[in-house]
Amino acid sequence: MQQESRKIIINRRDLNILFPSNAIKTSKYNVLNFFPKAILLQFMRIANIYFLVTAVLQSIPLISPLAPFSAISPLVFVLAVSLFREMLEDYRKHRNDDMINEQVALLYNNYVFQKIQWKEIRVGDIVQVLEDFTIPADLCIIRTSDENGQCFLETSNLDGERNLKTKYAITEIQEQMTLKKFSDLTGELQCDKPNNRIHKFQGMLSVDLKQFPISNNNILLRGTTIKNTKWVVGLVVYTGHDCKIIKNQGKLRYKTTHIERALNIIVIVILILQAGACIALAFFTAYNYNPLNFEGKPQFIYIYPEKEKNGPVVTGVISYFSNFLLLNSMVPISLIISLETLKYLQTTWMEFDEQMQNENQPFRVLNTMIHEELGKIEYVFTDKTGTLTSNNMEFRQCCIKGIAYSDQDLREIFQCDNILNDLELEKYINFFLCIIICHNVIVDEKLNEFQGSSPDEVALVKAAYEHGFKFLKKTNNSIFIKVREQLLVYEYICEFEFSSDRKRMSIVVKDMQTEQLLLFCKGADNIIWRRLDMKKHQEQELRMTQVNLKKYSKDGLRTLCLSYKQIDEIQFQDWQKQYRAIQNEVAIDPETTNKLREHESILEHELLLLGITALEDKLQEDVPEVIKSLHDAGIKVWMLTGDKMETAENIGYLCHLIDHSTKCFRVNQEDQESILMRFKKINRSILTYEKITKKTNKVKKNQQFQQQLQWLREQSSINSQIRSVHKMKINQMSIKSDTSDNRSQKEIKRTFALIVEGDSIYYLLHSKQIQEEFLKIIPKCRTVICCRSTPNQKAEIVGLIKKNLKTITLAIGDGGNDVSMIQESHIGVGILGKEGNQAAMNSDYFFCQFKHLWRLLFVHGRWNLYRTSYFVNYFFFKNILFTFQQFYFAFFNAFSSQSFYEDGYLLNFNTLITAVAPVYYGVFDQDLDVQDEYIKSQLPRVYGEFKYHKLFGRRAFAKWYVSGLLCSGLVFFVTKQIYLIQVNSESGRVDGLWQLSISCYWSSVFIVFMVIISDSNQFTWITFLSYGPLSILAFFPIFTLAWNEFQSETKHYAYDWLGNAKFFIVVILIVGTVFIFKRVINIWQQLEYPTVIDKVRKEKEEMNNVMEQSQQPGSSRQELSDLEFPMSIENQIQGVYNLQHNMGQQRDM
Amino acid sequence: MSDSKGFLHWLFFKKWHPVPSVGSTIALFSIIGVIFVALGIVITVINNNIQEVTIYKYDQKCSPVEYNKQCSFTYKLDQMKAPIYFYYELENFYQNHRRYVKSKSSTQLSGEEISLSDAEKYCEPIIFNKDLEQWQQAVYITENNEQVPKQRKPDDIASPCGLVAKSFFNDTYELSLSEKNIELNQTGISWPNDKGKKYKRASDSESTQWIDPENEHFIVWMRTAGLPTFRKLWGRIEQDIEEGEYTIKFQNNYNPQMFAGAKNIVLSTSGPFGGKNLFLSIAFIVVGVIQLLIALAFLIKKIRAGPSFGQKNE
Repeated sequence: MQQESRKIIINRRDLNILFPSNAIKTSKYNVLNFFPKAILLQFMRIANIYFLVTAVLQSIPLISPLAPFSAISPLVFVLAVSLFREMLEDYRKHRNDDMINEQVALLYNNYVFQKIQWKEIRVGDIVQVLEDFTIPADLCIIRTSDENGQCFLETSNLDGERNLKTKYAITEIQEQMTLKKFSDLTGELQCDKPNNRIHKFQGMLSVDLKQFPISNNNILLRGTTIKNTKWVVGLVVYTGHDCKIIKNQGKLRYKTTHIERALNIIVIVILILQAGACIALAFFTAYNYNPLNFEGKPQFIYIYPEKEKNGPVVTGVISYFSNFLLLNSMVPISLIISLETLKYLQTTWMEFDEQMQNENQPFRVLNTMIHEELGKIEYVFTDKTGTLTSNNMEFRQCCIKGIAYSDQDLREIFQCDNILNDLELEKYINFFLCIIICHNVIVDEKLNEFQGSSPDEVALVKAAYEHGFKFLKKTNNSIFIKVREQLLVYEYICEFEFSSDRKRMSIVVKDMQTEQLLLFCKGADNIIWRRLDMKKHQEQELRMTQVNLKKYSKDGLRTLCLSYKQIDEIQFQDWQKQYRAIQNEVAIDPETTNKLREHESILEHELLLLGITALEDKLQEDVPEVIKSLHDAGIKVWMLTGDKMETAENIGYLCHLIDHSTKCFRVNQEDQESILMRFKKINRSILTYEKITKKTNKVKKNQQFQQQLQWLREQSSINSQIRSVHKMKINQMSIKSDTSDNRSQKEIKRTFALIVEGDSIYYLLHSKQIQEEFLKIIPKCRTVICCRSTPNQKAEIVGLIKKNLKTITLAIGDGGNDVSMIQESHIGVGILGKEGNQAAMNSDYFFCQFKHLWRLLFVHGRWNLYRTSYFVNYFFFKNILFTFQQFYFAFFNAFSSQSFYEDGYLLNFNTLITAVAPVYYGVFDQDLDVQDEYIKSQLPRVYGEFKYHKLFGRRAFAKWYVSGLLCSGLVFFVTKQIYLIQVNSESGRVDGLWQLSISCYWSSVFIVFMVIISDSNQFTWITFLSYGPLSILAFFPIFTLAWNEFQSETKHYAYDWLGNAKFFIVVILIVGTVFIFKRVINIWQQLEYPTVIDKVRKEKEEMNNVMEQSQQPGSSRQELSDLEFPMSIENQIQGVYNLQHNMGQQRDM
Repeated sequence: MSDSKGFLHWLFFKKWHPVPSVGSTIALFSIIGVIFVALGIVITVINNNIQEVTIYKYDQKCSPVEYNKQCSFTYKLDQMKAPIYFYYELENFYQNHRRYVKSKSSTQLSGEEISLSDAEKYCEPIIFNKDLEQWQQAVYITENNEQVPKQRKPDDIASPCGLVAKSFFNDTYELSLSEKNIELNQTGISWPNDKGKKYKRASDSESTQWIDPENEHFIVWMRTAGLPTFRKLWGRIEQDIEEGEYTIKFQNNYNPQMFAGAKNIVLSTSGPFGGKNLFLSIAFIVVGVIQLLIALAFLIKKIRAGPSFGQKNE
């Protein structure tokens, strides 16, 4: 359909045939095309093509130094695993699709509603949806069970909000349909082409020559649920993949991690190195070891028969490819599949973590490929509502006539019935009337609770209910309430809706008891304030109200201003007449809506202030602590919220995003020039602050001690038994920290925050100049708050940082409006909250509470970062160690590309023998014991320093690469030298080629194990099992002996070398040599260049020592004398260390 | 990560966090160092008890140098203790060349007949009798290395086929001291698992094969060497020999010009770790001493630097 609009003929399937069916399909394959398509897709990956080429080359006997199966079998294995995974995934998708497509809907056919499946619905059909059922396709409402044509809708699948929304049938059609049958409905609907705009719909329904404009208010979108309405009948507008919810599903972006990106480069580097090695070897072959010598005479006639006359060039070219095959294990095929396996296991292990779960609410990992990225986060973007706050409003305070009451106060007042006379009640009654009359809350009779689109309103109505002002029911023209057991009825006249421009809501009602017309208005304080009739208020009252207002906002409470006014009946009728006229005008020309607004605001003048309500937006558990940890780790935290600046700032204070030592820069200018100026000014002032700070930078060194000190203080207050010893240590440490420039400590703590508002964000995203200034500032601001940002802006901000600062970003949110941000960032975290699961479903990780972010980053993130880095480095190390011996061997076999290892050994090195240990390390190794309280307290700091260590990158890779080369050379040349004459046993018998290679092979294997055992930080029994028996003891003799029986070339060799003492001696010598070098380097690094891990371990040891000491009363005297040892101020740091070490030493002895 | 107790808990959560420290390194290095040095000394002693004599380029010692001829020379040997192993050594012979190594048929060598396609696949380029050396086409070499003349059809598949077999080393030696023959025992020179298992004579060996695959010299030759200079065991002298001028008589068949190298004779006794190899003993001693030195250096530094060693602050 390439037209500008879509035309739907009602009730005529035959004329709407061109539109797609309502079935959705997310699966990629079907039974027939699975194999060709899936295999084709597999070979779209460069790695697989590379491996295919290798396998093909290997099948050519002239070239191949190895048996073809050793290249083909891994490829087949990799392909099989990938295909199997594709198959499972696609099967799940098929199942999922079927489940969705086979849901039951009610289709109007032959005068009754028949049960059909969703996929059978076509455009132009008329379907019925019952209460609590999901809408099967985008519908235009024709009739609802409500006589006014209203229905309520829950849209959490769509926009993440759980409150109910009201939708309407076109009144005239609703009326017609009560009389007519649906089959009599004829006509057409002209509307937009399918699009993804959820909040916009324009159409024109033509029925019986009459035209009715259709807006978003008349449309039910697929995926939403009917609530509080018995049934709805609708006309199908969009089906299947045309539905707005489907159009809105973000495309899954393939996220790569920094390790993968670095890996790609490294693979290319290795390929170049490999090509270099191959060329060198081919050159040597061509130069010296070809069938014809320089005079053209045959040489090596015991190898090349005389009939072979290949010149040097041909020999060289063949040799190039042969060597290419020999050395291709430098880029092992198993790396990719091992890495995927590793990450899959990491995922499983993470999901097991009970500390990430909350009372059976799950922690799930949806993207299994990006775990290591969690260890390098520098920017966290968080949503406010539902993420930091629990989206659970509670009525806390109110201010009536200038007097502040807390919730508790009110409860006391209203409990003592008799004290309260009518006059006193009068004071409160209008205040509460405003609350329970002026709102859009509805009563869910089934659940017996209030529901509404604004959580504030729901909280207020609920609070009023508890205080005896009960809202009962709202019908089309009356509102029923109960005030202190007395039923009151108000006639509903009209209502002016809340909108973000107006920031207020008003309702006009008639008190049926007194026939008095009343207008209740509530809204933002500054808006209401302007509309108050100042003359009728006491100045004292207004001032006190203002004071309370300030106090509430400072406490982070959300405030609303309540007001009312009495309206003169005659005046109102005049006004109403005009209002109706304008309404008619607007119905024809929607552009003139402003007129309506203006006319509405005529009534909303000269209001009388009733009071202020203050609601608390409760924070989620542990939010301030987590934010503090994030800051400690040097992570910049950004809060992106749709809320207004004041509220956002309040929440900022509440959750310690900003505190009183933070210098806040607010940016709320609304034109490009002044924003630019503002940013420049901010930049200057930050630079000035920094200059002051630099002078006092020395103090930073003390931070670590301060942290220790603080921790000790906390501990000692917990445990009084060990307090005395602690006190001494605390004193000891505090002398030091006190003397070290008290004055400067405040400066050090100075942090910056930036608060940007909606319009400024727009310019920020659209002006290059402003962006530049902005990007200069933000690395220095540890907090940025963006207020009033739209979902799209959130994503753009994340994109801006991601692109320009080249840092790793994490976005966390819970609502549908966070989805774009979550998908844009490197890592998207969803919170499975009240606002549906859309954010969670689009995220990479999701859990149910913000506090779990702490463990996700500081425990799992850092672990996975170093584990995966180590895994990849180690993988290259072992392959270089293993493969380079082939290269060295070439110099002793006339560059003939004879394989050093026998095929079976070659194949099993990566796939069996050395496969388990690195995966085990990559899943389970723990460098710090995170159960330990002190280490726990230091994790943010560790994280902050750790993420700058280049665990995987060019330097780390070079280090591992060179050590691989050295080990490889050591193994090869030492073994070669020892096996020189190949008489290795007392029997005087001579060994051959394979003895040499088997000896090197096992030396390599043991080196590989020795290295990983040396680098393991944690051992459990499982570690011993997986490093030891599983890999070595099981494979060493059994595999070798079993292999012997199959292979002709090395058959029975194992019997020879297993009984050979020299074999073991050589392995011991080589592994021992590598071990001492490794150990010396480790120790040297620990002493001279300690990493943050080393430091924290040391500190923890000291802490434990102190604890132990304190439990031995006898030793405290000794310690006392040590403590009294005078220390000069310069040597304090050293001194404390000395002291601690002294204590450690004494215990050792 | 789990609160559940029991075996699994113990298995997963009983943890050790060993951190390499200076102290443990000193201890470890001292122990390993001492072991290495001790091993090195033991191996040196063993090595020193091994006697080895090499007669270089023995084929040049006859004059005139002629091939396929019996020839002899005298050589002064010291006293040696039995068993003395008699090796021939080839220099610059690439028995580990790719094309060479793979040019043989294991099936054929284990006594089975192979098809032409298999022969072409495994034995390329020596497939038929006509591809063999001239003398190999007209002979049958028995298990005891005796040559029986036998004419063969040039177009039959050679058995054994392939380059390794074709280049079979066929010098023979005799050793005598003042006319008294010293027996060179030529049995048991191959590995027990080779003879009769990997190498088996075909049922009609004499008519189809040019050499009995159970000929031990052949088996020894077929186990291709790993390096271009290699020894192969030829015989064993099972009696002590005295000092004296020994006569070595040999059939000078194998021309070293073919591989642009040399052929030598080695007489050697053997120890638990095989032949003489200084490198092994030196390596152990060197590595051991380095470890001890490092341990010592750490110790000195630790004592000197006092208690703050290992606490270097930044």
